[in-house]
Amino acid sequence: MTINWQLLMPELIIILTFILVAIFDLFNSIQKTVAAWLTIVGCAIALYVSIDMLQVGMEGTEFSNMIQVDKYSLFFNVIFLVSTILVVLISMNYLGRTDRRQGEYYLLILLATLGMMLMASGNELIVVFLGLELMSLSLYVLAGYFQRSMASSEAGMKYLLLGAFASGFFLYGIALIYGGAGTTSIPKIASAITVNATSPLLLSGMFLLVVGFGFKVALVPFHQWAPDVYEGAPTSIAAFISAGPKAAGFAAFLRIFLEALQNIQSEWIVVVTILAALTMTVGNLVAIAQRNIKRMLAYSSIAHAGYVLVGLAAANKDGISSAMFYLLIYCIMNIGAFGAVILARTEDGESLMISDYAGLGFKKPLLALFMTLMLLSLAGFPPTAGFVGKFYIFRSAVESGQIWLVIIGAINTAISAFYYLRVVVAMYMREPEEELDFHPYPSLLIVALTLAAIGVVLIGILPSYFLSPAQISTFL
Amino acid sequence: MSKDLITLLLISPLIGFLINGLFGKWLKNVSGWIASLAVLIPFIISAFFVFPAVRGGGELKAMLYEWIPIESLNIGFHVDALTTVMLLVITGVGFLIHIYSIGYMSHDSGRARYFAYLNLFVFAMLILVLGNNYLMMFIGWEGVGLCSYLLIGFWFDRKSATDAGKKAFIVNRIGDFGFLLGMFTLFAAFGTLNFDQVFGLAETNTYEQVFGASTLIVATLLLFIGAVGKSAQIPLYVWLPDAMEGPTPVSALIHAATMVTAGVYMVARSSILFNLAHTGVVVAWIGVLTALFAATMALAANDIKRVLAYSTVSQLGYMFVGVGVGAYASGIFHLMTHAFFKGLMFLTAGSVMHALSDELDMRKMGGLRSKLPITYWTFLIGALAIAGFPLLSGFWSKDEILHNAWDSGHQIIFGIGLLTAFLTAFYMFRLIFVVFHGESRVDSEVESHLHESPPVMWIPLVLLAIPSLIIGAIVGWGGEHSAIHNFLKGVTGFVAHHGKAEHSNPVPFMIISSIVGIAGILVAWFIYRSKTPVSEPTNPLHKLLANKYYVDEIYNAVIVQPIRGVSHYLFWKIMDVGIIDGLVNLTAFIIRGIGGSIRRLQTGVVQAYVVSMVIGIIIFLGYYLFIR
Repeated sequence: MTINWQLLMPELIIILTFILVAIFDLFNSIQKTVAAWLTIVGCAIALYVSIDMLQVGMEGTEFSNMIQVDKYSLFFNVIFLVSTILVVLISMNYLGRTDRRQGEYYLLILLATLGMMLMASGNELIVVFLGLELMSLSLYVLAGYFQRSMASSEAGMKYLLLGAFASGFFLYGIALIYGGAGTTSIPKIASAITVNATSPLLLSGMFLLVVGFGFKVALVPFHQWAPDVYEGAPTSIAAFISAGPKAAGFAAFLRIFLEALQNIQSEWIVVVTILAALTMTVGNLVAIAQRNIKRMLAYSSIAHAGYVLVGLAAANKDGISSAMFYLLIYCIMNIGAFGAVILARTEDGESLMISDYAGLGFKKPLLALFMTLMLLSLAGFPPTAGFVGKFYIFRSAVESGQIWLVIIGAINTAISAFYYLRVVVAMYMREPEEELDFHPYPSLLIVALTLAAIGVVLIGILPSYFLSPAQISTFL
Repeated sequence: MSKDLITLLLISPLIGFLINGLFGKWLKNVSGWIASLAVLIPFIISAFFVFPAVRGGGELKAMLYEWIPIESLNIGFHVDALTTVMLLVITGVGFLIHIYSIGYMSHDSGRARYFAYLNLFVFAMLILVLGNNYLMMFIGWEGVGLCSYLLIGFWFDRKSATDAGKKAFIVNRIGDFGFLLGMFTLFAAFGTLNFDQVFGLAETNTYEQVFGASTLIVATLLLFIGAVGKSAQIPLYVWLPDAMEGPTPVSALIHAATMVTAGVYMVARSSILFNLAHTGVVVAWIGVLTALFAATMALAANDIKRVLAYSTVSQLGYMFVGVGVGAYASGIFHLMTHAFFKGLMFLTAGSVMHALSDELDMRKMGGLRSKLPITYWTFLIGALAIAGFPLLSGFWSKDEILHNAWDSGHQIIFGIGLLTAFLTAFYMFRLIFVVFHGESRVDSEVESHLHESPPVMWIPLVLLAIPSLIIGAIVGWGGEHSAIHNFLKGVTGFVAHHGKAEHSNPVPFMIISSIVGIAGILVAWFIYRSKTPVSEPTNPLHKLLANKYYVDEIYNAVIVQPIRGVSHYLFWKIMDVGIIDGLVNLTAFIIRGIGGSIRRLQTGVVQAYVVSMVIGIIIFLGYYLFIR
């Protein structure tokens, strides 16, 4: 059997980078930041290769149809790799030069990235599960990376416990579907299921997959781990968990439900619609009550998962492409927002209370500018990327007749503006309660934020350059 | 003429704005040159690429890019002869004013901000004239309004400046509201805002009659309300004289040469609609009344910039007469010549202020001719041009407008226009004699450091004086067959003559307007060549004029105060605080309550989270297995 290695280039590059970082990490004499730079270079090459393959249109299956490399998976590779590069950039100053253990931090990030890529290209429920576990196990460790911090350890532990619980459901779902369809291969399941099949095995299996994905992408009511983990985990890891893994969860979610289970669409659309409405509403309502900015961003990212789910509920080609487009935008702006939180560090650590941001608009204009831009984009103001992203999501839902879901989404967008703008108002219109001594700007963080800011503005002004690749990359 | 060139033309001032806006702090004196370069590039493109291409019969209608797939939200170009004239005026005059500003603002610490705003203005103005649909025009329209507001209030530590900025903004909102309603009407009727589609459907009479037979009348009049606000016509002209609080080059660029002419451009662009609706006559009447009214106020003003401001309002009135009687090319022609000579006069007034330590009161000037020779001669050229002195630029364009007014059967408009021409010549030369001739009344302290402006300021004056002298003869010679008419022929539609169909002989009109102009100059010479202007007006008419017909006071008493009263008690105290705030607070209270109570579910205990997950699973699974 010959393997077409070319097809797996991005994954191979990540594995190679992983090995290199692991080797370099053995030598204590070498600066630990080398690991970070290697990670960035490796991801950048993989990103370049993925974009190149996407443009050439290289497609195919490998490992006995277990891996399906197509434009869809390559587009998601781009999202994952962009997120990973941004996260590494915001991590470097955050961890500092003195951290002796940071080699393993980047190794785990690389592993998680590899897991995400497997999830997007998995053509087989088992492969998707393997990718999911590879990603999740790395994330559990990363969430607890600050061993000395109680909060970080607690976050890691909680994430592990709940994650294992959810993985159980996911695996059980796979087993039930195997029982119903007699196969775990996505295309074969699709042909095995007849239109509107009502086998209880299939339906329960389908629903347990929803639970598994619902946990991974933090849909209400399977979301409760998210705020605790985001708050306790290192901020750079909170940014990481909120971006790439969520996109990876949706990559598999969309592919399994719209390809393997498309014949029982009428069954799952009900639950997906309810979950989308519930997730948007609860996420935004609870975000209003938050005083800690990391928790606020956690609930906001829950709400954003709800918006993406609207794309799945639309269940058409435009729904997929707009969900892909939205995930790209969401990853950039959410990492940007967490990056701005890292930027606002004081001598006593991070300033996480929204009240700490009072008056920053004049004391730290650049920080406030980045934060404002990211929050405006998250709130969906034109001409930022967040606006066009929401626009396409809602339009696809309108096209498929989900008018009520769009109305709920629009109301939620209005609600969300309240808590996003509250931070902006605090920064520009409030006097600071106490004088906080902010750190000087770390240069790499500024680079990352500038990249994110350019991305957010550029996508907002020239959306079609980014949307059309998504539109030609859907699997439908 | 390629799409890329137009793109470069459009974004060049935007890049200038970004550079000055983001890095202005470190640029110091370079900021002015960067800003000037950002306007020079579009000028070069307009003059050497767009102009030859359009003259050769080219047109460019291209989509720059599709923002989101909604018809009129996309950024598309519409470059034809009308656009080209506007482009040349905006970038040509704009460039010279940028250069002049380098000298004028050299001592101001906020110059990076100033040049950033100025570039942003040019960008917005280019959007306004390049757009291929009404929405893009509106975006530019609002953009220039914003920049105008920012630049009028540029010296924001002066209360009068911020007040003037606010006044300009608020008065313009009234006009913009009309424009917006006009757009809505067009969209309701045509289902599109794209120029070509709207005009095509209008000509073939295939559109939704949202207001019955008077749909187009309603639409054009609403659009014209926008023009009345932006171009300072009766009754919304009141903001323009106050706008003189801004730096003088701003007055030259925004409040004389470009932005205030946007209304004229809009009417000319919509010529097909105005022709079909026959609403041009309203435009012409508003125009001519404004022309006369503003000219009379200029007679009694003692502030050098205010005289020029009233004169601008008055000349804009002429342009509206031109486009109103269907002589679109003549109106645009006057727009162009006016940009040169009025821009010139504002800059010379700035030069006078620069020499006199920001003195604006003409009564404290006098005898400046020998001290400021370049300023004097260039101003004289501008004044002769606006006064309609034979063969100078203003003579040609103004004469054409009056001639067309007569030919289209509006003899009364012609008469009022002629009277205004006399007054124009008179007040302009009153200004010349009071400021530059006679005895010096300058304070001795100021007089000690009286100086001519540096080259960076006077070179633009000379460069503007040349077209003020000759451009009219070059492009306007030959009436109907002149260069400007041939150039604009394809764009401005047919000339709608309500009365006579054919043109009468232009020569008698030229002779009459020459006589009128020279008479105005002579009368001013008789009265003011040696006389000092009185400090306080004594006779009632003079008092009425000096107080600007008390229009500001009337507006304040009839509109501002009642609105303020109603809004304070009814809208604020009862509606806003009582009902709306109450509702908002109630909603916020409820939502916060819900948020707070859900938040309480977030206990931090892992077992509780698992329980909530399991409850969720049971409910959904139960639905699938039993209820469905």
